[in-house]
Amino acid sequence: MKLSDVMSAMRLETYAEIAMVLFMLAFAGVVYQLLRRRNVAEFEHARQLPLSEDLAPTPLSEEK
Amino acid sequence: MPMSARAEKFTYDDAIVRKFAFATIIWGLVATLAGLWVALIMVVPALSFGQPWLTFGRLRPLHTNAAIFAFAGNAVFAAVYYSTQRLLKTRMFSDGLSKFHFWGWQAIIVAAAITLPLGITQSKEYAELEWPIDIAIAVVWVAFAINFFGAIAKRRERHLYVAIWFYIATVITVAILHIFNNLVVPAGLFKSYPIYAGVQDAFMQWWYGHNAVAFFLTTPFLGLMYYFLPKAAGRPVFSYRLSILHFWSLVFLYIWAGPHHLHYTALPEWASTLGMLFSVMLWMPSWGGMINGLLTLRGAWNRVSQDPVLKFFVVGITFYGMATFEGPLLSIKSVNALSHYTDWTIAHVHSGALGWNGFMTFGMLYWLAPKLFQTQLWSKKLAEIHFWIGTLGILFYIVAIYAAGVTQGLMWRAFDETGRLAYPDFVETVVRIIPMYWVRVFGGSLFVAGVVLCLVNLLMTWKHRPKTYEEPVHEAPPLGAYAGTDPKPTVPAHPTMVSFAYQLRYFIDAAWHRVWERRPLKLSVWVAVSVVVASLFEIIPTFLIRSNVPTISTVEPYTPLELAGRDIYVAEGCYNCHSQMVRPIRSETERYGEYSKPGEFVYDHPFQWGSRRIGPDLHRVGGKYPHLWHLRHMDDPASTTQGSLMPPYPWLAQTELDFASIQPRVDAMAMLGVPYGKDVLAGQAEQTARAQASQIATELQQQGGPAGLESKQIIALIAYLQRLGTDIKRAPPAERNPELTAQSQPAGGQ
Repeated sequence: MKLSDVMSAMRLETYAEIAMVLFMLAFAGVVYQLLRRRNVAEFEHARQLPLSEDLAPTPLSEEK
Repeated sequence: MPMSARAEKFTYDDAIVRKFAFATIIWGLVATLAGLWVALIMVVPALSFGQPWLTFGRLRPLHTNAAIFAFAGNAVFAAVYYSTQRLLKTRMFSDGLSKFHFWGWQAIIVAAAITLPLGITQSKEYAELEWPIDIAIAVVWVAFAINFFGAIAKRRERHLYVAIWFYIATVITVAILHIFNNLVVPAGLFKSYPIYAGVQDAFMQWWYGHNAVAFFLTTPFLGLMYYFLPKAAGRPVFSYRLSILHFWSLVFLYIWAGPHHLHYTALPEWASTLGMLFSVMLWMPSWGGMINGLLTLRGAWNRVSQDPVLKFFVVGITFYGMATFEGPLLSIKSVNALSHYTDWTIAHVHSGALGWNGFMTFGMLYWLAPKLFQTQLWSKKLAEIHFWIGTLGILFYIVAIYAAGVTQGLMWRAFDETGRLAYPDFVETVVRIIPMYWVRVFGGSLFVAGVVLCLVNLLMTWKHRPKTYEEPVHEAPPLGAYAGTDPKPTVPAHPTMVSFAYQLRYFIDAAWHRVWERRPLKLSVWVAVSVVVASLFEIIPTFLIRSNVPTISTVEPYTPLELAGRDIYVAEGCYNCHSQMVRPIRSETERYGEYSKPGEFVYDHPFQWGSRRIGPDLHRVGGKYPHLWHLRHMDDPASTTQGSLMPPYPWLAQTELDFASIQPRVDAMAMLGVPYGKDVLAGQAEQTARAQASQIATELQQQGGPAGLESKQIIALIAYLQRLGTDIKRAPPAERNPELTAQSQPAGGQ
């Protein structure tokens, strides 16, 4: 009995479609989190990073 | 507390960026010159002067590898080394590793430039380099990864800017792609066979090929865009949120899209549909990214007319948008049926490579030059001229080649009113597009001229550098003990909610995401997980579900001589112009014969399906012409096919075939599970090959050919070509030699 026999017997033809749905769900999760996100200040800090090389690093006191 | 930590002093290593910047433009010139040369020998085949190392088949890989890995590669490294240090407020992890990375990479490029014209190749597009060089690439890449992640570990800015994310995705994914597409069994120092065969090999190759575009030519250049565009425009990126969305959607979607390179081939239907679906979805994030880039310039458009750097960036980003709109379009099966194997693909990749990668690189170099050489750019005017002739060059190139692609595609599928092919002679469809090939030569010359101007400008700027470079000292407090430890979520007391709900809300409020950003290790792991999981889900079924590759009982391994001939076919790069894949489309079966089946390729290590038909498909060429035709055709293609663009291969009839190397080749194939008979395995391969060679030589002589060819390379090549695609026409094995059948039938069957 080879691995390919097992895999064939398991009828995994739909394997890829299932994975696709999983991926879409995970991706939807990422998008949801991103849009919900309320940390405008942190985004703003990050956004300015390339412009201000001497910008003070994220102050740790801001961390929650 | 931590803000009171003592500030640390540090400097950035710009010497390494200068090195990479120069390497970029020098290799850029080599890559585009090689491109111009192959465009020229396409219209004037005599320019190969009968020299093996000057033919299109051997030089086209040199052009593509130089463009991708030497030009774009060095540009990526220049961008990464410059921006990473500044975004993380730290020097790279180790100056020694930086130098090793630089010199190692250049050595690899030189090795490629030597081996490819010599015909030392694995024949997988953009992964042609043979196994010893592949190992060197892996070593240098690991050094780069250590240097890069080491810098992240000792950074002084907790937040990782989105450009760094794109770099992380590049470093991880390229390593995975490179390793898995290059798993081979060596049959000598300069020859190897991939462990995959046929459909599976094709699948792996285009999983690699497509993602090389994604993670070598797209993600690092997006990192470049997200850093250098705001710098040049003097304003932050339009939407940081959109840039994060851009990142995750590329990581999630790109890795699935590879099979769109294999529509209507012997690839299983589900795989190609999946590839199409994900490719179409890719359109959205790509355009999100383009819009994000262009909107970054809002309020600064007046500066675009003044600043060549911004001009390059604007056109570069626009080409990103155009190429990523066209990509999904081409991945739709019905469009692909027309576009595949034509110049349409070539036009598509050049709009991406010249417009996106090229122009983003030039913009970056012009922006970097004054900073790296600490003086003014030598000539802004020259940069402006470069921009205009470069843009014109691209337009001439792609418009002509789009026209060539669509013309030829339509001619291939045209039927006349009697239901026969309107252009049954393949060469008719070639001759028609030659004027457009001349326009390409012209457009390409303009683009190369622009590269020369850039090189001159950089050299002159460098000449005006100060005697010693200033090394500004920066100051920032270390992250210290806080790097790597995350503050525990503080859950405020709340009487009406249980603490679990609070924890959940904390999580939903995206604390997890902030934690990711600050913990590059986690981010990297997730990138790797999504890439690996997507790949496995896509690849495993093709490998392990037998119904996807039905076996055919009459398909047998190549004889030792045919195998040697096949290796010549591979070495000469025939796959660069000839496909071996008749698609199940009426115009193709009319022109070439029975369509190709997955089971016909089970012994093809590597697969030779090709991606472009500059000449006709060869899968059913076996038995189509007498041996003598092949001999004359290889000696001078124009003598058998008037108007042919194929270069002559006179040396094949003069060079001795290395019979001694056949046994190790057969042994390597046997190791991969190719069922050679006992006789051949026991050291008889050479003898078997010689017997078949003398038989073919005799037949050649009977057909009126010259004598004394039985030990030459051409005999092996003819043996292979005459065998191609003939197995399914043979009688079932039961009616032939029963002993051979028992050995050659793969276990299982249908």
